[in-house]
Amino acid sequence: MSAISAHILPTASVEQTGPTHTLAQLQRGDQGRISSVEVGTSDLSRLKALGLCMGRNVRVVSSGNPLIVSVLGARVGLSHSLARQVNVQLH
Amino acid sequence: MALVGNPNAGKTTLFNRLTGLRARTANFSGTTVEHRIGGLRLEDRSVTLIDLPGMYSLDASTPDEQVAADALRGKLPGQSAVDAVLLVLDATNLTRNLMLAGQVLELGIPTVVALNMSDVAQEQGLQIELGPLEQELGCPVIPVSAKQGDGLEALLSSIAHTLQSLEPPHFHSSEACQSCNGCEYASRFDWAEAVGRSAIRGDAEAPSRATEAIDQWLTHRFFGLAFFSLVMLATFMLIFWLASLPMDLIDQLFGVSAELVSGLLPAGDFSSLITDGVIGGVGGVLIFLPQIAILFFVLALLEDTGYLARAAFVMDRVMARVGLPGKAFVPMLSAHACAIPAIMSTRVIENRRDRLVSILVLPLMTCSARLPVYAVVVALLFGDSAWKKAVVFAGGYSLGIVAAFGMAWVFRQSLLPGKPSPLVIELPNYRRPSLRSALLLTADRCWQFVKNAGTVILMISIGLWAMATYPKTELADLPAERQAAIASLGETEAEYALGQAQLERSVAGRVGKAIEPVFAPLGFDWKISVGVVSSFAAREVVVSTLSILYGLGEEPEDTDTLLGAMRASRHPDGSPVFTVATGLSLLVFFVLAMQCLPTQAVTARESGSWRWAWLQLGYMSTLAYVAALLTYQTAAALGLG
Repeated sequence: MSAISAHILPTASVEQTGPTHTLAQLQRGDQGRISSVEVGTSDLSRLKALGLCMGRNVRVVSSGNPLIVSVLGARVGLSHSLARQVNVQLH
Repeated sequence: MALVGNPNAGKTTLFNRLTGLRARTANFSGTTVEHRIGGLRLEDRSVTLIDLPGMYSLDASTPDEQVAADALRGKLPGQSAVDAVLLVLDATNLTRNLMLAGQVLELGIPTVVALNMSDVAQEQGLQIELGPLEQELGCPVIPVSAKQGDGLEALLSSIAHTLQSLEPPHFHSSEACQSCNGCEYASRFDWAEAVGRSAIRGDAEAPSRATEAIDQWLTHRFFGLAFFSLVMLATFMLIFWLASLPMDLIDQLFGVSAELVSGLLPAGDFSSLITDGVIGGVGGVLIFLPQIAILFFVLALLEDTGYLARAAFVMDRVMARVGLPGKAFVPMLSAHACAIPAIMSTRVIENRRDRLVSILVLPLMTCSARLPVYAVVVALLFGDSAWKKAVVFAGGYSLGIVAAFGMAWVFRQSLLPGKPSPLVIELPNYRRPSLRSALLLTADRCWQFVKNAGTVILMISIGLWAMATYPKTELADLPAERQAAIASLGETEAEYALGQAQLERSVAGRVGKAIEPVFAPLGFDWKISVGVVSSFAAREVVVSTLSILYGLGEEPEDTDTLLGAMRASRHPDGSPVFTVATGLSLLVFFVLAMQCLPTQAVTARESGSWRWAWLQLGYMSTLAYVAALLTYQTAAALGLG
C-alpha cells in the first residue's frame, strides 16, 4: 500500500506510478490505484459505497467473471462488465 | 436511539444482546422497510433502541438504505429525530467501516461507538488502539463482543453517560472537496485509511488471509458451483427430514382440536364453520411452519458465516443469462419451501426491475404446498414403481425451475426490458455463526409468516368453506333414486355420500360443473374442475376436495382408498378419467398454476401495486393451462390417454 496516496487528495496531478489498465484486465495478485471510474450513476453509488472509487488502492484476489478485488481491507465481488469501466494504475 | 452500522458488522447480534426478547418488528410508516425496536434499560432511564437497516454509506442505493439514512437525518415522516446514535464498527474490517462512521459523525448527533468483534480481532493478532481512535472520532469507543456478550456493561454505562450529557461528537469533518474530483468520497476514504493506520496495530491483513484461502475454493468457477449445489441439497434434505415429525404433530393437533370443538358445539353450520373453515384452514398453513422455520434457520446460519454472499457471487453468471441478478438466488432457494418468505426476501435486490422480475417468477418454484398434490398424482399413476415416482417428482421440481428461468427471460424481453444490474457485493470475512441470533431471527421470521399468511388464509378459508357449504342440501332435496342409493349404504358411507352430494350442489360444485368444458381439453372431468376451482386460493385444498367429491369424507382412512376411488372414476362414456395423460396434465397444471391467494397479497404489497399480482395470476394461469393442454393432447396422441 502506498504511503503517499492516503495523505494527498487524488487530483489529476498525482504522480504516475505505472501503466493504466482496466480492472478487468488485471491478473490475480496485481495491485494498483484506481485512477478513474466510468460507470453510470446507478451502479456508481454502489461501487463507491464499497470503496471502489478514485484514489483507492486495490488488489485483485481472483480474476474472471465475476471477479474479486480487495479494497480498504475488505473484499468486493463485481461483474466483469463493471470492472471494464474501472481504470487502475499498476504499482 | 438509533443503532447504525455496515451490513455484516454484527449489528443485529448486538441489538439482540442489548434488548433480549423485548424487541418487536415494525414498518416505518408508509414503507415496507422493516426495523426492529427494543427497550434498553439503563440505571436511570429506559431507552428505545431502533435497529436501522444496515448500510455502507448515507447515500442510499437501496430502499432500505434510503429509509435508514432518512431516519438518521430526522427526515422520515412520523418519526421523531433520534437523540443519539449507537454506531457499530467491525474491528476486523475497521477501515471500510470508518467510511460510514465519518458520515454519521458529521451529522453531529451524540454518538457512542461499539467496536464489535474485538475478541476475533485479538485472536487474529490485531490490536486496535482505542486512544487514537477516540481522538479521531471524538466520541467514546467501547470494545465489545456481541456474540460472547463481552464489554456490554461498559457499553451501557457509556450510553447512559452520553444520553445524560447529550454532547455532540468532537469530530472535525475532513475538509471534503466535494466537486474538484471524480469521487466525493475520496477524501473520506483517505481519512478512513489514515485513521485505520493510526489505530490498528499488528497484521491488518490477517482477517482477510484465511477468508481468501477459503474463497479460492468456494468462489471457484467449478468447485464453487459444486459446493453450492451440495449446500443446497443438504439444506433440502434437512428441511424434509427434520420437518416431517413436527408436521405430523401439528396435523394431529389440529385434527384433535377440530374433533374436540365439534364435540363441544352443537352440530350445525357454526360448528362446521369453526372446525372445517377456521381450524382446518389455519392448520393448513401452520403445517408448513416447521419447514419454513428450518429453512430460515439454515439461511440465517449461512448468512452469518458469510457464505450466502458467495452463493450470490457464484450464481451471478448463471442467473445473468436469463436476466436475473445473482442476489435473486437465495429467494429462489427459499421459494422451494414457500413463495411468501421468498418474495419478502427479494428486498436485498437493489434494482426495482430486477426485483420485480424475481417476484413475478418466484411462485413457479415447487413449494411445499404442491407436494401433497404431486404425491397423490404420482401414487395414482405409478403406485407400483418407486423410481418412476422419483422421476416424476424430480420432473415437477425441474419444470418449475425451468419455467421460472424461461419466464424471467420472457419478462426481460418484453415488460421489464434491460439487463440485470451488474453484481457489486461485499464478501465479508468468514466467521463462526451465532446460534442465538439465528434462533431469534428464525422466530421473528416465522411470526411474520404466520401474521402475513395467517390473516389472509383465515379469511380465504372462511370464504371457501362458505362456497363449499352453501346453498345447503338436505337428504330430502336429492332426487329419489339417489336418496334410495344413499339409504342402502352403511352409516359412514351414507354420510360421505351425502357430503359428496352436498359439495356437488354447492356454489363451488356448480362453478366447477359450469366450467368443466373449459378444462375438458386438459382431460379434467367435473370433479377435477371443482378441485381446481376450490384450490384457487390455496392449492393444497385440492386433495381434500377430491376426497370429498369421491365420497370418502374429508380425510379418507388411508390414501389408498382415495387412490382406489380415483382410479375407478369413469367418464360418462365409461372410459377411465385417470389415464396417464390426465395425470400428467394435472401435475403440469399444478406445477405452474398460481393457486395461492396469500402469495398474491404479498406480491401486491411488496411490489406496491395489485397490478403486478394480477399479472402474476394471469400469466401463471395461462402458462399452466397451455402447458397442461399440450401435455394432455401430446400424451393422448401417444396413446397414453
